[in-house]
Amino acid sequence: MSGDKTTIALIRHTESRANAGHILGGHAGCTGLSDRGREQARELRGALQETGVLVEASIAVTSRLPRAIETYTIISPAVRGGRLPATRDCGFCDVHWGDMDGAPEDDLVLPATIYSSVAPQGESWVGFVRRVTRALTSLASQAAGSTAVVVTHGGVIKTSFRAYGGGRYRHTEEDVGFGVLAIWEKAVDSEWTLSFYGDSNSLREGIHAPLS
Amino acid sequence: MTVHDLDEKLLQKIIDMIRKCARLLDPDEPIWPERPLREVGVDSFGLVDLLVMLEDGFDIILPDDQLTPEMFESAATIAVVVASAQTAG
Repeated sequence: MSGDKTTIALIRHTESRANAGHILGGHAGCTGLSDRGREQARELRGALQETGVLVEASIAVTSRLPRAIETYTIISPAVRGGRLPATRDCGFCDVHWGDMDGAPEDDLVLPATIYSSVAPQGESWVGFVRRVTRALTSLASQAAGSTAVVVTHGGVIKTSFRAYGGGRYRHTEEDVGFGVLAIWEKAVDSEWTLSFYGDSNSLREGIHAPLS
Repeated sequence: MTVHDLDEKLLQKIIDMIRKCARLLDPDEPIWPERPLREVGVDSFGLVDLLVMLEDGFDIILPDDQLTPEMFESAATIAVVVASAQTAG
């Protein structure tokens, strides 16, 4: 996975304590993985080691949220033999919840429009997608001709379907499961292709979920 | 600033950007300055594509509080905001 081809592997973090407790887990509210999430991450690490898909990665990034950082810590032995530390980039963070960070999910009132912030000091849908699109575009340039792995969030992976997939894939509206891996590949002068989308079981079984 | 004060080159550049984001629009279908974006098939992700294109193309940053449905009504309304941002920058 190096040379003329650019590969970007986006991994959703595994289950966090905030997910399990139905809390909006932003920079303040995220307290890392649940026990189940750690087990899911170990499962994913096993599948990555068996398949060797990230063995040639040369760039590793996580969001700034503890659940993404912890997921990478657990899977990192499967990334370039455990010799690739990850940088942290808020461009790959989940929605900035502002004053709702750490509040119960049930307390969230859906914004009136895609331009409206989710809460005071928070982010709108347009602001979130703009931030993530810029992070994805910048990473694609940085990783040109090599392989990058990013441990991030469901909304970021959804955004990649537009930023990289250009609307050619119909996955955007579906939920992204814990530990799901989306691998995007691009040859020189070609469009991005989704070469794999699935969880650790799909990865082990070599099942590619075609979503176009 | 009003629509009538706008530079034609600025408007045309914005219309060209809108066309790139209106992926289902027939190439022969006209986009005039006041034509609503919703009529030309720019979806919500297309709006973000357009926003990134505007910021890169005009070397501006549009603060979140300026991003409103009214701003994205048409090429003309976008142009008013872009021209103001250029002046402020």
